[in-house]
Amino acid sequence: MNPVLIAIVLIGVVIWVAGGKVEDYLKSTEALVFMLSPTVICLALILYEQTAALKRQAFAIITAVSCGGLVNVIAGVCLTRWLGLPEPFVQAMSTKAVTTPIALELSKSLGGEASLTVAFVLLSGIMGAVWGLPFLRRLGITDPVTSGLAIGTVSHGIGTARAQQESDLMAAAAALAMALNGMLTAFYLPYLYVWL
Amino acid sequence: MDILRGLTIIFLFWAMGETTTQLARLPIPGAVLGMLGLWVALQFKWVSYASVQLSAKGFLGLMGVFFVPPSLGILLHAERLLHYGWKLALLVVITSVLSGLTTALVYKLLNR
Repeated sequence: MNPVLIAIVLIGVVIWVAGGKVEDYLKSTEALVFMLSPTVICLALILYEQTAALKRQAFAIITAVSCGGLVNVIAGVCLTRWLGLPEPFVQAMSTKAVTTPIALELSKSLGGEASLTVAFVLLSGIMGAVWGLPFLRRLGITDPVTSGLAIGTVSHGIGTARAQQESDLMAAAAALAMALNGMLTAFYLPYLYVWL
Repeated sequence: MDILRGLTIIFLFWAMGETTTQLARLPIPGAVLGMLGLWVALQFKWVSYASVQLSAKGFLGLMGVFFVPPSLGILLHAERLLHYGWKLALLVVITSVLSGLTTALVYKLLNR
């Protein structure tokens, strides 16, 4: 079981039982959320440690992550529209695989709803972190770099945190995928979204 | 002392990243640029690995904790999310599976 998921469920239950407000909880934990940004900076260390191991596959990694990210955006936007969901959901689906700070910036430029955007980023992250590895394993994908790249592309930082429990190499691949997918999406989504 | 020096370096790269995105009006968040900056600096040995190691590992080890509060923000949208419940669950699962598999397969193909 994922310890982060356990903590989320426990705190949710405590707030509910105690009759507290989620808004109050969020306000009093702002300091913790603030720490996410310096943590992003620290991912550079994991990248640096694994650069030698991943350097030779640079082309394969960049191509794989771009393709995965594009599939997520295009399938997300098209399927959500096809099912007839309102526009804020379509926008939130398009940025859900991107790390929270980038998703929020994109949400601003697409005219989306910030908190819904974050909710989808987290749904995507938690889902990939909890079921991503078992799913890949069932398909026979056990290679740490392949798994790490797939999880980082779909589940950004939450997936990277999960990959870190497996191995440093998987964490590096996930962190690299997260960074690449976040940056690439930030560049093309504002143009692609208008077109879709 | 080591931790303090590491923290200073980390926050310095964060500040540089934020300043760059603000001045150049880039859509990329400052923290991501800062990460790239620190990575480049480590590669070229402008910053030594040992000087940031302790503090950076501290942040990374606690990363899961930092994600807990925003995750509970989902509760604020519980009603809307449940209204479209199975459709949303299906959408998130299908697109994530497609995306993850695309990344894994393309990588496997190119890396053969």
